[in-house]
Amino acid sequence: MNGQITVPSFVVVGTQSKTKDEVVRELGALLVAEGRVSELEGYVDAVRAREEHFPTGIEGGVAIPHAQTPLVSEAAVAVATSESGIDFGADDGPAHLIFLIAAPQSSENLHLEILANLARRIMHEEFRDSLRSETDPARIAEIITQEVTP
Amino acid sequence: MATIVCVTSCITGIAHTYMAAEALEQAGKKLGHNVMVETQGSAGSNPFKQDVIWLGNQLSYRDCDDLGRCRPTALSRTLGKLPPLPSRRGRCQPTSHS
Repeated sequence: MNGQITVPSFVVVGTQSKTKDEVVRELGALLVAEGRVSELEGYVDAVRAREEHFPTGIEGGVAIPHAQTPLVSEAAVAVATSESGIDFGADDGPAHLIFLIAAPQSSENLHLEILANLARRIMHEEFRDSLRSETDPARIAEIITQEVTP
Repeated sequence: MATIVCVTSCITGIAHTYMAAEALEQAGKKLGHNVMVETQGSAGSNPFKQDVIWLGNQLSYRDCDDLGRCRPTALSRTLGKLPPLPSRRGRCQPTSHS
């Protein structure tokens, strides 16, 4: 593994995106810019297909759109915070914290273990609150990296 | 204190499998129950050891509902008595035999 799953350039604080398609595209473009995802359209389509199966909004104002596809060269997680919230189909309202997860099709276990750790951390309110209260992308990337390193 | 044995699995296998496992473990801790989870995700599964499979087969299940769609899990191997429950909000309330 070359880099951390989340680097500061993968973080958007206070996104202007209003819909899940917009925010997935916005965050996906950041992963393409760093070479983690080879092609935006194909990746966005894979995420949309996954969302159609059932939406990834969960209680507590969080959404975890994701796709595992060969278009991903290295596991990565992009993060957006949203003031107004974006509807991801959760029962209790829109998501204010969005994690876009990109998983390679075949991968060393370490990558996937890190993503699994992140998924587990997301279930903890303190973790979500610590990210929501940050306005510095570098700090958000740092918190995620610290928390998910096996 | 009840012992609750669970298997989690989801379509992609990178997120919900582990989120569900964490939620079940935390809920167990909070309520004072012993919760054991086998995650069947992309990061490899962590199969139960034989004694847990034995324990799982001693449990009884009730109040299950089936509302969603998930990929099939190897429940028949792990927990012989648990019907495969493709479930978004399925509730399984195992009761310990002891």
